[in-house]
Amino acid sequence: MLSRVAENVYWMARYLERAEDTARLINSTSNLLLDLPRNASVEWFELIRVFGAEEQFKELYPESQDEREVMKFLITDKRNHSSIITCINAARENARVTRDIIPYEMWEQVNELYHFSTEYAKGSISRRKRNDFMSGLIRRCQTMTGITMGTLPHDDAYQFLRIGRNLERADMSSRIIDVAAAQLLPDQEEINPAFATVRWISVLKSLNAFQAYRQQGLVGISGSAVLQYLMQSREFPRSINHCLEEVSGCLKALHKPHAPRRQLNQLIKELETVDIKALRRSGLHKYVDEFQHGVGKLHSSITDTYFRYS
Amino acid sequence: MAIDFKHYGPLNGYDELISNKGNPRQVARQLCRYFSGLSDAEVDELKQASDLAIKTLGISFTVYSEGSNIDRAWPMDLIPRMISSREWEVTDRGLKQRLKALNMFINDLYHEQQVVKDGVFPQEVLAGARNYRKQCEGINPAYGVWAHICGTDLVKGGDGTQYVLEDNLRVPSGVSYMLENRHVMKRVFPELFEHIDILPVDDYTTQLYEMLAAISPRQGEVPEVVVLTPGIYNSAYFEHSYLAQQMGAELVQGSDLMVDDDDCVYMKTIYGLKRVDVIYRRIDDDFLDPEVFRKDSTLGVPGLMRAWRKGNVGIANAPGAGVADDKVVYAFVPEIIRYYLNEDPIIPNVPTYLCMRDDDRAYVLEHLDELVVKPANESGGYGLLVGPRATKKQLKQFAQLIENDPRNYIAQPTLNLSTVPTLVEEGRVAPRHVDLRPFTLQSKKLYTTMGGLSRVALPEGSLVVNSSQGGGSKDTWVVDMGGDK
Repeated sequence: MLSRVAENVYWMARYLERAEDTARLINSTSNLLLDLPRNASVEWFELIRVFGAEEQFKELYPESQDEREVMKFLITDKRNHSSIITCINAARENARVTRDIIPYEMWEQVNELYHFSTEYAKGSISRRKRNDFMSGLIRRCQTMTGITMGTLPHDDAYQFLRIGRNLERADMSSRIIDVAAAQLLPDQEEINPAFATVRWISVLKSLNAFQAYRQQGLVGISGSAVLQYLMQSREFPRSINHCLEEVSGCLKALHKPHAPRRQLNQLIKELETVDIKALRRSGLHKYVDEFQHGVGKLHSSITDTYFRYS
Repeated sequence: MAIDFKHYGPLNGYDELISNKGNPRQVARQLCRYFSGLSDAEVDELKQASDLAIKTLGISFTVYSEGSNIDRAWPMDLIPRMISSREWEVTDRGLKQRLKALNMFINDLYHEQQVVKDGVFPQEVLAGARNYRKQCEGINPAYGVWAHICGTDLVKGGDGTQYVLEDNLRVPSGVSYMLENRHVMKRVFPELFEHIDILPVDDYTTQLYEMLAAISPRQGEVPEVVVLTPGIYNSAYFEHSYLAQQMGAELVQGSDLMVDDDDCVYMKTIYGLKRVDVIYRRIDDDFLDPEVFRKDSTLGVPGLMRAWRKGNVGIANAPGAGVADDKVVYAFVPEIIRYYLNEDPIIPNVPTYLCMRDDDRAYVLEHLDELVVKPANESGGYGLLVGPRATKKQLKQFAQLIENDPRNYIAQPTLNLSTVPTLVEEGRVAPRHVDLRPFTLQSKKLYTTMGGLSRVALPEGSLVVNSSQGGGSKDTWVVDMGGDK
């Protein structure tokens, strides 16, 4: 398999995952509005923090940081490299340069997703049609995953695709956790417990983890239990641990994965040993920071080993 | 109101589907009956189904306009162009004959040049052939074949006579659209395919692969075949990826390849370098190897010509094959066929005036407003003058161009190209001019596509069929009518 093509497949998967995760996050935040007491409000700017895009956002929208601007920035703004539209376009461009290896149905689906997004994304900036668009987008991304599983030969290309998807997912989950914790974990002062519960449920929902979490038989919704679940669960497909294990499986299927595996094992070890219950706000933030740095290093290692070795 | 072939027209010249009396030709009878039986709503529905299929299948072409590339959905008309298998058989033979002779000609030019010595092909034409590559002299590609893939443009005149208009021997494109048109038509009209004996086109990519595999320098081993593309911004990128996918070949860009110290070509894979045996290149000679041709090329592979000359890699079409893709050389093809094969050409050329000849030039300059003037080395319908439609200023400008560089221009009578019924607006069909581009392959053996890509000029009366200039396309059905063949 050509190095360039492997890289394109990897990025296609990352962009698709980023678009899907963003849609989930927007959906759950929009829904949270409905659960909050009338005088409490959603701080939309929080979403910008998830992406670490505070500076760029303020530069592009100096006037206002309200729902409309945040939605514009995250959904349709092409100047934002992580907006849904940018991601879908980039995924399609990456698919386009790998059309010779991806099955026809995958291309058709990416293409359909692209046409769907260009047509309806704008309408979703207002609240009324937002859910329809986000759900439609998520469903299409999931269809893509299904088609990939069912039609792409489970060879090297498939491994790179899964690596891309899971690294992106792990990274995104960690960002969501980080921002939630910054607001909800007690540091010095206590937080209104009823309010916190609603917010933690929203965090679970943004990762589609609420139902699964409940089925674990865990009593109540506490911050540290939610964090533990989202970070360390072996079974839940969006937990950080699960994502890393997936990447580990992929690397095993490839030749000469030594350097990336070293990097990955380090990440897994740190995740297994971190004592979440003992973490307070600043400790968690520090951990997530290091984790994201580690994901970046893993990405570089994969790039150096397989994509741009010479 | 349903589609009405009785009031179809006005016919001026030859229509492929409808006779001068307004009756469907035998080959098109079932099709016309089917379309006549459709309501406006049904036609509309079919049109939508076809547009949607084209959109979701991502069949597109790229136009370069005002400094940027625009991806457009591929325009395909619902009504196919039809050819009887009996007629096609003759065309098929004619195309193979032509390519065989052209390859003998090219091989001769890069070796003994016997054809020049024997006075059949003038030295001064060769001297002025812009696509002649001195660097290719003395090289022996497998089977003596240089042009492995040829896209031949065929047209019919007002009396229904078929002519060769052009031989495209450099990097002819369009075959993927031929295949995709069929793909879409099968989705939209499954019932027609059940009732009409339409001969299949989809073995092209298998044939292409076999042709390429046959020029691998390591015979007996499974060859590594790659398609070399200039990249995503090329107007034919869709086709490059399509063909690579269909053949199971890697689609590579210049930067994916390298020539090592052993003068072999390698591609950069995730597990290191891997030897490449055959390159189906879709970039022009000029950009192929910066060591030999244009030094500023970033699309090519340094050292590629070295590897090819040593016989370490097969390249299709071979560098230098474009020498015969020249509209002046074209004028000599009938003679070339007679010279090498001792046969008469099966498909005639369009009568052609060579501006380099004094008599011809005098005639051309005098009759400029009746003729089509073409530069010798352009493609895609660029730089061409259609005399009857030109303004006074354009005529004057072209007269000057011809006087300045007569070797670079040819002229042909303006052909009243044949027409095919085409959907122009809801429920209405009108005659639109078409051409046909079949593809012929040659290495170990010869192969011609079943039919080809029919291109159609959509504006009323227009003769320009190029998709880059607003042309559309049609699926081409070669129909076996049974009975005597």
